[in-house]
Amino acid sequence: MSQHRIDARGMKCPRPIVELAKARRRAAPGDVLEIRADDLAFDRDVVAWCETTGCELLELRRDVEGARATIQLPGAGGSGGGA
Amino acid sequence: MVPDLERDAAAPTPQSGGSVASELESRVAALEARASGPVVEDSVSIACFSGDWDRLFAAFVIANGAAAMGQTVHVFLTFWGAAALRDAVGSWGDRSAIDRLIGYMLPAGPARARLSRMHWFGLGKRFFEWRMRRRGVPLLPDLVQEAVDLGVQVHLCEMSADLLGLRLDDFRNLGDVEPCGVASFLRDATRGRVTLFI
Repeated sequence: MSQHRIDARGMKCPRPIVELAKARRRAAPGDVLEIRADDLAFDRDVVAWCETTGCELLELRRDVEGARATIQLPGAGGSGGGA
Repeated sequence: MVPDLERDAAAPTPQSGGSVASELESRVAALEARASGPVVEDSVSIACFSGDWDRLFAAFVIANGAAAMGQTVHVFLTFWGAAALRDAVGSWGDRSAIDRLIGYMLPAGPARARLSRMHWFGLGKRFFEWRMRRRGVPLLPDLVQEAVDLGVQVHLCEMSADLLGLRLDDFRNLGDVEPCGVASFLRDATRGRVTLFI
């Protein structure tokens, strides 16, 4: 299990979630994605993205530099789905 | 509303217990039949009719978002949308004079599409593109390329392409574009939960 960092600061919708989707393709099941973004729509979008793709949103924080989300992909033996 | 609800709830009481059970059974059977009906998949079908730069932009933001969410995305190019999304034109050589004439009059490629409002002879579009670059908003050609990279399936309406003198060759930038008709659009749209006409 490894961790992938994505810096989507300065990107507007839909680029942050597109970057998430690309990172998810590169990652292995059970990996953790950590993404930073300052788009104001990102907080709600990342929740929707996780719900739809079956990923688990471990943490979502927002500070002066923007939002930081930690996401765990469904494990190989897990029940999480998504295409 | 409340009296109706009470009447509904009270309705089975005068009857015997057996008929309540059989009615429940038939209702469950009806629900099961509905659940095992046509296959519903997590797909989004977008009919791209408009060739306006801003409408195409909206269509491809949705296409990108849906693809990023892991949904299957079908984009159906028809009429002005098909014309605006073609690549640099394939080979002119074997086309009729009228096909060539229409080809010259239509915008070639998403970068040349026009704004539906505030186009101002192209100045408005340049202004918005400048703002988009500064704000990290992807431009239309990038969005289209990204959609193709994410696996969005592009279908070309054969009938309108023929009317506008367009060929599959003109769409090589959009991955494996398939010619389609209204039936294949409706089949894909019916299977999915979201269908948009833009």
